[in-house]
Amino acid sequence: MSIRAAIYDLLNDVDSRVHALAAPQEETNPYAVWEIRREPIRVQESIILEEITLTLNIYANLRDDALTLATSYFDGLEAKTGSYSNKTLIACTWSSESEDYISELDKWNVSQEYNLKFE
Amino acid sequence: MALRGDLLVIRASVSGSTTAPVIIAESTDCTFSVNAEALETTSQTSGLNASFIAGKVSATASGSFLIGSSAANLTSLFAYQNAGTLIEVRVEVSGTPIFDGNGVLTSLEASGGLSDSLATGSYSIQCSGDMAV
Repeated sequence: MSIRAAIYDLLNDVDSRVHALAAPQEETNPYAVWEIRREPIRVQESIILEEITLTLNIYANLRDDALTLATSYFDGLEAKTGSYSNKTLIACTWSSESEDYISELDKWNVSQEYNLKFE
Repeated sequence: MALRGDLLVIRASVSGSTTAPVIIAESTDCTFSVNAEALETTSQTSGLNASFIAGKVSATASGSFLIGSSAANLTSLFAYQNAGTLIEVRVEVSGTPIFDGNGVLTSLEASGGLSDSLATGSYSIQCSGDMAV
């Protein structure tokens, strides 16, 4: 699924501390995991664009570290365009953010959502 | 059983050319409208009931499309409109023609928007003559 590869390339370009769905268990530094939801934009003959909702979950032991990494992703992703794994990103827009302290993990979590359009 | 939306399409080509009609690239919807005039024949003897006979039948084909990154679908249609080219219009259901005839591109529109929207276009063709297959 080349969209998955394109998303990984895009996020990895911004910051390499990103993992698909799950981070290694021993990971202690600030890190991010992501999931995607697809809403294809159809024309009569085919699908012309892939509209992707990207949810990025950033975890860190310290709140400041989580917010710093979140800011780094925002700065790198907002209004980003370009070519990633043979897919062309034509729009990327930050749409929401929330933060939480997860006592079970003893970590801070910042959750960001972006809307992306790939050709 | 209902028909899926993408199985009703309007195809177009230059009338009289050997090229088979094609769906206008990136089409998102299409509409084929047939109208018949009703000529009033009400007379003094008709009382309170109006009466009519059938008049001219005319048809239009129209649709919307996403403008491609090169805008080739828009500029191709404009070239036909600007040259007054007669267009062959064919309406198909699941690949089977149900209406076929010629027409003239009467309107063409292009619309832009913001960075979270897509540029769209629309067209309208006034059909000419009998559209029956």
